[in-house]
Amino acid sequence: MRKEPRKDAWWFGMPEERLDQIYKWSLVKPSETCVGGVQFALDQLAADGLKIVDAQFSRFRSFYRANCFWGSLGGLISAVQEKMPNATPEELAKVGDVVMMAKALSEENTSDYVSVRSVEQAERSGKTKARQKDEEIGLRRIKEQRDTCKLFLKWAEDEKAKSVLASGATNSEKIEALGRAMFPDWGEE
Amino acid sequence: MNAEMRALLRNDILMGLDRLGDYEPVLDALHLNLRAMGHQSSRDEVKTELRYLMDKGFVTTREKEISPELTRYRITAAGRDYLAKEGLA
Repeated sequence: MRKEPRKDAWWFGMPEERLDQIYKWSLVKPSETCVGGVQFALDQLAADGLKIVDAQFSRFRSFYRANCFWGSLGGLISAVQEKMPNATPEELAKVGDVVMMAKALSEENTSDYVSVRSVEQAERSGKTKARQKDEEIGLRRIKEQRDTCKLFLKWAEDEKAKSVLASGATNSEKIEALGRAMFPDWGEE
Repeated sequence: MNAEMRALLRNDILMGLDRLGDYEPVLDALHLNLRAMGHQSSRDEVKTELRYLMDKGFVTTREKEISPELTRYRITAAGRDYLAKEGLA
């Protein structure tokens, strides 16, 4: 049975759609008619009867971003592994390694996730100008993550990947072929 | 790395091991993706935090006797309990 979470994990048990909505509220740009950003999200939650303070919302955003990052990666690994039903556990693990490396390399130099957290720390110490940057980073981050996932899925479905996966090669040979297709320096020591 | 960032790194490691399902990553794969998330931690720092989480009983390994660099990490039931308690499950 699932244990009760700490009291400030106010998002616990909410459906994914609700979490998406709350996060998107925090990305709304300020305008003449809308305060935008975290305050807008806090106001919306308050209107729904949920009174949350800044620090509690910051925890939610850390959770939400990590959940999206790892969740999409876990989904990609499963999707590729499913294309190799006869693979041994060791071969599946190696396929997972390939996907992990692909994801990491495709996101290289777009390291905003934790810098957002640093910005949040700065906010709490009174550097409120950072908030707008936080929102911009957040929007860009979501777009990048989705683009990366779309690109990888497209790659996994394209003819090159299909031909590798459908070939009569052994699973070890398929892994090698996939690795060579994705990484120019595959296998080089 | 300050205490808050270290706590964030530990949580992100555990969430990663949890969300990756049956796949158990090696240190390098985990480290590179933590970097992709924006953690500036070195490989050794990630390894240190993994050891800490192992000492806590939250993470365990499948070690290769002759290739320790290929050690694979997985979350334990206690690690999942911790995530649930923190609202991170």
